[in-house]
Amino acid sequence: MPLAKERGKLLMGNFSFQVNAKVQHDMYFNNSPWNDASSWSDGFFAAGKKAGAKTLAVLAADNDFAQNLANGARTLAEKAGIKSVFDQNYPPTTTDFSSLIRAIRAAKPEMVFVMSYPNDSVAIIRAVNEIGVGSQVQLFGGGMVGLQFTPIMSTLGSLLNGVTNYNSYVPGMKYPGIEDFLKRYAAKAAEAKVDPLGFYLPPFNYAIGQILERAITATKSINDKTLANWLHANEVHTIVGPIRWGKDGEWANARVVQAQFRGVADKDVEQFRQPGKQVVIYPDAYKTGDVITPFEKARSAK
Amino acid sequence: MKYWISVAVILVLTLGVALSPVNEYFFFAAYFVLTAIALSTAWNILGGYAGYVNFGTPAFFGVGAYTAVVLFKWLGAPLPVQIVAGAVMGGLLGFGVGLLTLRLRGIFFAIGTIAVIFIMETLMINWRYVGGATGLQLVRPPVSVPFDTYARMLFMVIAVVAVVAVSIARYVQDSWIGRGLRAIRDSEEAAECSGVPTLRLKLIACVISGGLMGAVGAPMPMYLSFIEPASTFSLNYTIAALGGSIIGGMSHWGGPIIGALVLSTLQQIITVTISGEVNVLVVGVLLVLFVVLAPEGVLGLFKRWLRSSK
Amino acid sequence: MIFSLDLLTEAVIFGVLLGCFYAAVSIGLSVSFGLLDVPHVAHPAVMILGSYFTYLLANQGLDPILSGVILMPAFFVLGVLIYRFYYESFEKRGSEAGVRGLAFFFGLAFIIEIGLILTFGVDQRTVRAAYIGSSWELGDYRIPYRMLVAFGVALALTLALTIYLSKTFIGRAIKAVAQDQGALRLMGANPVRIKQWAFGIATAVSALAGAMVIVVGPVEPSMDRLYIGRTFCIVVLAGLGSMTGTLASGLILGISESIVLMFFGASWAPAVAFGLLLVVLGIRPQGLFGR
Repeated sequence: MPLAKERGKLLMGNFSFQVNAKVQHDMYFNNSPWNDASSWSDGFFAAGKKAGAKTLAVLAADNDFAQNLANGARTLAEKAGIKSVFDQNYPPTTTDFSSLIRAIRAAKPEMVFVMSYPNDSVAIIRAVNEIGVGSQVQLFGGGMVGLQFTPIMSTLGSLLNGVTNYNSYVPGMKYPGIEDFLKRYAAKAAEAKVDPLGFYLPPFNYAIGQILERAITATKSINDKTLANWLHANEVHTIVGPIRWGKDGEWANARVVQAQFRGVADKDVEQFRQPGKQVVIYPDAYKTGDVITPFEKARSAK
Repeated sequence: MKYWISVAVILVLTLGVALSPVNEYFFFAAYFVLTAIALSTAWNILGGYAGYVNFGTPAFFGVGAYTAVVLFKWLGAPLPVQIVAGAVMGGLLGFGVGLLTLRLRGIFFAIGTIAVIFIMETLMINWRYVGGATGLQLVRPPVSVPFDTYARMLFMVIAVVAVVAVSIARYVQDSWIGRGLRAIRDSEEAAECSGVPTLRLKLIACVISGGLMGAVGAPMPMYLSFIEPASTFSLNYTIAALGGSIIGGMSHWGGPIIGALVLSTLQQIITVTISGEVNVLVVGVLLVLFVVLAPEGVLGLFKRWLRSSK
Repeated sequence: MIFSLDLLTEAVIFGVLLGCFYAAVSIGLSVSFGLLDVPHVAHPAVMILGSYFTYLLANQGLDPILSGVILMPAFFVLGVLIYRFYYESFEKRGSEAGVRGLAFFFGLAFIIEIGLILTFGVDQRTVRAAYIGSSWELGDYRIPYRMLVAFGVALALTLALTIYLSKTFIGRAIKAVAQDQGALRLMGANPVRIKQWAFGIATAVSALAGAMVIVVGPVEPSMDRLYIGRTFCIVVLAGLGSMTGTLASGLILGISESIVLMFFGASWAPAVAFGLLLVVLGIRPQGLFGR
């Protein structure tokens, strides 16, 4: 980052988080749909509030990134007047979450916000299934990394049902051109034996190319400075929707999706291609359904 | 006298290298090698002379590192103060652990020291002030003259620490402490019967050894400009210290130097050419090969070769 | 920190299950270190090796516990080989076996761990079985079936080993070898052969323990490090070589760890075993149920 700034180069961020916050490089543009820490969780809290939740449990991995996001969630909760009844960080070495889930259940929260890493996310979902979090929980999930990855989704299968979690794109969202892209991607992915669905990262990676292409055709230049100026001034239409950047190179309007898993069956990768397995409940403009609460009820909903 | 002249020559050479326009990577690698030498030397004072295996190198090293971080964050203490304080804390820890377990057979001391690593790590994970499990980013103060970069200065610092460690190990070996420790290693019961104050000697060795490890750990946070519990309390330090001594030869202060030099240089080469995992594997394999085939280490092999060529 | 009687009861129930599981993973060490006096710091690493072999077999559709049982003969042979090697290289030579023997087993543990990383990567591995992932609902409490299975196997294992050591001829010989090798030799038995047999059994038991580890939770190569503390804590607390003591110490550790987990959080739990170990070493090194 500092190197790009020193040398005056245009730099595209690829699923990076707040890397420009300190450096303040004016030729940096992120491709990912978030900006600050609270942009990850505001959809989750909006839904929780609508469901009438007044108490919150936070479970977060003890590392930089997770703590950053958890702090975003804590601030939002405070602003919304939601009372925190459980707040714990777990060290990254934790493998057995059943005691933590038991303690959460005993705290009787109405919302559970989890900020976890892939291995932990799997273990947490399993523990929730085993131990239960109690019937008063309206909403569970939020910032669990890993539940977007195809292998993890197919391993967990029906255990995912009811969980509301962040995402970048899920089928059913109306972005012009994305379905065509995913069709082409799916054919190539099968050949190359990579992630067969490719919802989470590939469209956004493709968008980087689109963004640069638009800027170059519009300005007829490959000068870093000219391109950066154009990107700051214009909105770019990509397969992941229209993007406009703020001064710091993050999206001016964050678009972190919160989606609820529903009616997911075990051991079936293909099911995730149809809309409705992950129902978008936020942002409103891309909504594909309403959130089902409480959590226990959503687990059995179709 | 000859020893002190060579020490002076080595230090002057080190300073010369630190001021010369050598590639930065050299200092990175050399820091690692010198750390290994100092840790092995420190380990050998208790492990080699007295035969008490300390698996807890990372605990002592880590206490030194965290002491330095606390002093730096709290008072902005300069590096020499950090190192001395790291040594003091390492020595205190050695005293505590020794008092608790050195009365027992060696194996109990060994597993006791493993326990200390995990307890220290857990404490640091739960201590917010030093960053918890997340760790803490440190902003290095400006480098002092005559050095160009921080890496060069720390290279000189760790070289001095290593020389001090070796000199102490050499002194201990030839003094009454060393004689007593060797008596303990040969037969603790016999030593006890002939009036050797075994517990006191073991405690002294444990304090010196722990203190030196603490001193080696102290500059580490500045070197990385970061500290975090998992890598600070990594068992890789255990195997580096243990491996250096055993491979080099435990009966003489020169053994750990040779062992650590060979081992860590090899590790650096493997890390660069193959991978980080393989380098630890190589240490494990070498360690097992040496304890089985050449229990006296490189020094022993060398002595045998001298004898046979006569 | 939330405190309630319900939660405490739950922590204790879970602690009892966990404790039996811990006893089962320590019982091999109770034989190899407790009775035979071998400084086997690689015990947890061998056990995790068992977990990974279980993973391979279970992926072929076998039940994980059954896989552990199938692995036992192979691990018996492995144990005999390890002991033989240790005996020839260290015990026979006598002097200074302390430092080098410990270094040998420590190096062995590292080799196993890194070997696993190079073969399987650092990712966590899990197995599937009908009893993994669901719970027995008992009123308000939910008890995971995986813990119940581990609990059952652990009890059976401890019981079987206790009976074997006290009722069979060779079992008694193993106990005798721990106390007086000379007397055993006078009786016409070869102490090395007996120790070798016992070490084989201890290692075979580790295979089944490894299977239980992967039933109870996901496994990764460096997991053995945590179990060094747990297993040695239990064996030392038990008083070297006592089987029933091992069970009792397992329960003590399991319940304390579970309570700490519940009331102080996951970040403190790893220190429980190590802290208890240090306290025992400092106060009562002969253990609670020492011979």
